[in-house]
Amino acid sequence: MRAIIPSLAALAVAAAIVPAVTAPAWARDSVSIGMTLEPPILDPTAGAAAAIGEVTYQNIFQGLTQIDAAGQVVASLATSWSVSADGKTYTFHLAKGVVFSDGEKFGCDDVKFSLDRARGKDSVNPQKALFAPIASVACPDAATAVVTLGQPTASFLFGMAMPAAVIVAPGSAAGDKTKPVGTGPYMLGNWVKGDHVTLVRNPKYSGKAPAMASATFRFIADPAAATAAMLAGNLDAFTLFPAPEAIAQLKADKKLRVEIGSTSGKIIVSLNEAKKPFGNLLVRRAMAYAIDRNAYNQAVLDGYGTPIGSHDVPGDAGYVDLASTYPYNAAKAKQLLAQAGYPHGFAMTMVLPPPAYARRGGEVIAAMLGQVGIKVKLVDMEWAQWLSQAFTHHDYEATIVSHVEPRDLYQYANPHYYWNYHSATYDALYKKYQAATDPAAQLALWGDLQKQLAHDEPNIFLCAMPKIGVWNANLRGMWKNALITVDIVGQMSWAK
Amino acid sequence: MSLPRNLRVGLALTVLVVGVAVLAEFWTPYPPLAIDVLHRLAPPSAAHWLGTDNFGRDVLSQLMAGAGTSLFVAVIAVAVGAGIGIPAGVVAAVGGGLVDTALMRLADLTFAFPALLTAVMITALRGPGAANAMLAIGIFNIPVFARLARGAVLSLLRRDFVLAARAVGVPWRGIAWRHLLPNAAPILLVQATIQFALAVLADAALSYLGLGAQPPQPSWGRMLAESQNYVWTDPLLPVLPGIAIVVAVLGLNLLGDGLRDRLDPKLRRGR
Repeated sequence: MRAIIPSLAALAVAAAIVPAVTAPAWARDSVSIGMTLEPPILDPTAGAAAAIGEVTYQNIFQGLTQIDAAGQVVASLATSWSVSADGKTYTFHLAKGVVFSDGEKFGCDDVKFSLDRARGKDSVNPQKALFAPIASVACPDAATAVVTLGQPTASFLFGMAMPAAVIVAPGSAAGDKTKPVGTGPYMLGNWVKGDHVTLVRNPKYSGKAPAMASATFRFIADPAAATAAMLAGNLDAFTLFPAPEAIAQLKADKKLRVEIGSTSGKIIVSLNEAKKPFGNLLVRRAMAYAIDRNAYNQAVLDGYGTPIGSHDVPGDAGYVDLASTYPYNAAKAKQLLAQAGYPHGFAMTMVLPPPAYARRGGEVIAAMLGQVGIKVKLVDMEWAQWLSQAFTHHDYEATIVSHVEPRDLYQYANPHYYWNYHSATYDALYKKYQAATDPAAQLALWGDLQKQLAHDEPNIFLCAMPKIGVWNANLRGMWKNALITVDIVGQMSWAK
Repeated sequence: MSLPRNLRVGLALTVLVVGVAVLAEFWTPYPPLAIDVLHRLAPPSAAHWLGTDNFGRDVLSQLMAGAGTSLFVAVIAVAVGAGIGIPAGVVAAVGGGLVDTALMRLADLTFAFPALLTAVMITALRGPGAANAMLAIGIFNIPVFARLARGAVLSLLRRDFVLAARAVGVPWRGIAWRHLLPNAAPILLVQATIQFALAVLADAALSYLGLGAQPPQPSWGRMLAESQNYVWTDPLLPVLPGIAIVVAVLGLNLLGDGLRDRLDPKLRRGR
């Protein structure tokens, strides 16, 4: 008995001490993040889906430069750089002691490999235009990369900060689609297709170990399910929350924080000009007149978006407000349709990817087009199928999608892009813009490009996508605005 | 002669739903798909009796049009189930032996799958849409009718009038048409009414999951799914399609119960 009492006392002491000692281990060090779409692969240099970047950018993969929360280009794998007087030669000083998650050392040869691969003939890079200005990449030593451009390109450093320009290693690049190997603070833990991707700390990461040990990205496209998951605490954050109608309800919840910011997302009705009758300018303009952008904004985005008239968003340098180029006018639309040879309208099919802006938007757009005699059949499509059928194989007539890449007017000069827009005028203008060196002239040309698109209306430009961010009030490190759609887990932490 | 109360109420509700569905083919207060964003999420008023939804569509018009969608899916589904199930059941009962065993094990197999899972599977294979929803609901109706028809026919086969017909050499086809089916009809009719109610419910469930009628075709299940995020701000939006589904299903169930009370000879005797 006597022996028992001291041991009981010891137990009591231990019980008092143990929680205090182990508390840090019990503190939360993981985060679960909601996304509407699942990345089809995990290699941002090989797929166009923005979801790839959202999961991997600065988490698994890093670029020479990166975009910060303010939308500025800052150092990443290149710790500093200098630009020659003629604006053609960029000398990047690379971070030292960096290794890929498989143990390979990072050096200039990886930079040269990545850039040459992205601009090569067989490149499958979704943003090839970013690399078009590059004439050569040289490695004077392992810690220095010299990139020579064919002509000065003001947006070069910005381009190198895009998810499509991250640095991959020659030995592992081929497998990055499913087993991504990068230099970032995290690496792939597991990927349950259709449900979630989990990232875990990369033990070989050369920088300071991030606060979060792991991050789980869950895929929830349904607005009601997303709302329920946030309210129930099943998700800690939703960077692009899909249910604007639930904002009031979420704001009322003290556990949550709601921030409305801006993105580079342009929600558009993409038209496949290779299919009849969308090659006809009159038809496209008729559709533009038939669609009430303000109504779309109210009905689908609860008014949080901003109507746009070209492929750029307010807030971007050089943005021109062209939203009233084709003011809503059903009579005018009918008149143009008659002029185009479709006095009674026509029938068309619109494929809709899962996000609410497309699924809900489709119903609104179909109703509006129906008013002028255009009968729209709506076909829901899963994201992978949309990417393959509509985006890759151009097998669609029309769709609704948000183009999230910032300053991506180059896609209209790309003859192989999925909307099949061809305009010699636009191409010439784009060449001129690329060659311009004077910032003022560049901005003016940037405006001209937007005006040319508003004139040709290759797609119906609807709204700038708002960034409705919802996250746990104790979660730190989330971005209010997002020039590119990212979740930088390395910057996240839980408030003490 | 007064009808039992459940039959009266069931009949009234069913007539109401069918009447509304037929009326909607010719007239709704507004075109069900017409959006009017300026008046979105409007509460009930003289202009919009049941208010408007998040796109400004008239809820009453949508509910009316949705009745047609639901009933059409249910009618076809029950027709598929009865059209294949009843002959299969009669053949099994009359044929007996191996035919009976094979058909009934096949029915058991179909029964073993939860009904909604079967439907989800079919729409997953063939793509979502009202036509596939009909097919899916129809398929899981087949074994219900097959078993019932078999059971009814088996008991009829031992009845004197059937034995008499067989004794004088009436061919099986004649016996089936003239004696078996007419006598089994009441019980099959009752089952059809109940299956009809279940089909309306299954259609709502499939549409709610996005596997039934595709937008913009109005459907109760989809109205329910689309409005659930408005449950705190505009509670009427999700409640109204819910009430429509309840009225339709309750009406058909009561009708089925009432019919059984009237048509089932055993129950009649018990009273």
